[in-house]
Amino acid sequence: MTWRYTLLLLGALLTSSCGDAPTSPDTTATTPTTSSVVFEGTLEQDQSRFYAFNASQTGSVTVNLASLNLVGHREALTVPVRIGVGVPKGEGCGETQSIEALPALVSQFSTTLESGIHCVNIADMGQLPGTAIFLIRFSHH
Amino acid sequence: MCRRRSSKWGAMNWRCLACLCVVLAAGCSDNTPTSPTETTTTPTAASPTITEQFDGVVPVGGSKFYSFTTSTYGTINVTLAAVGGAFVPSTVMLGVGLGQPSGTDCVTTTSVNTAAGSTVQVTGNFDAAVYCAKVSDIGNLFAPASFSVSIAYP
Repeated sequence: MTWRYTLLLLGALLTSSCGDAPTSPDTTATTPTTSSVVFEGTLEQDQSRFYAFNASQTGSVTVNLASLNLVGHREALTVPVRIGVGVPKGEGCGETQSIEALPALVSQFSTTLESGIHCVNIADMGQLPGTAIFLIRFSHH
Repeated sequence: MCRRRSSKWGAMNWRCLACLCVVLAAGCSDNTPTSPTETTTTPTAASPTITEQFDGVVPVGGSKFYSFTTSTYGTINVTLAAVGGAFVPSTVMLGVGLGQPSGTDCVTTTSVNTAAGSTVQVTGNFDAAVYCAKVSDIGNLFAPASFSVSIAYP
């Protein structure tokens, strides 16, 4: 009977030495990050200004014209300007969507953008009485 | 194979044992994952098919840039074709670069200081994306300089 026990023991040892199947790599969930940007500068009559940014993934961009006033004045202007988003093109921003806006405390414009380089634009629509100082807040993924 | 025979009892059992060991050992599969075969393919860079002309004026100590979008992986060529203006010698060297728009500027990844000429001054192969060509004063200007830049891309 000894050989049977030896056989069983050897079999058990050999089968137990077979390694486990490889384990799958851990998957790490990525949380979309949102970047907030403050874009401020001066806007001259009949001119436009833009700010380029890189959206790391498809997601929404929200834009808020937070302030607009003439240089040397504290009062907010009551004439609208155009704010929009697009893709940098030539010497400006090739807007794909835009709205007319006055300064406000909340986001005035939101749209979905694919990943890549985009721009936020502000332009005078011919109503600025002089050079203005603007501040735009926007967020994107 | 492993029948009992009284006369050859011990020898046969050891043979059976050896056979079984071989079979069991062979049954252990190799669980070490094999590395995937890595195939490196070098994409072919498309030749420029679109040419745009970027004309402007560089202020003293300043810069100007021009954005464009390429549709596929390929070659971008930037050529400072001409420089001029009052008190600006046509041979003056300016900075010419290629990069991507960021913020209110063009962040260049490739640039040279060059005088105007007919040969391509900045070139490279790039993925499809938004890029910008930038012309800047590198400290040589005493007056604003007009310039003409040719940008060719796929």
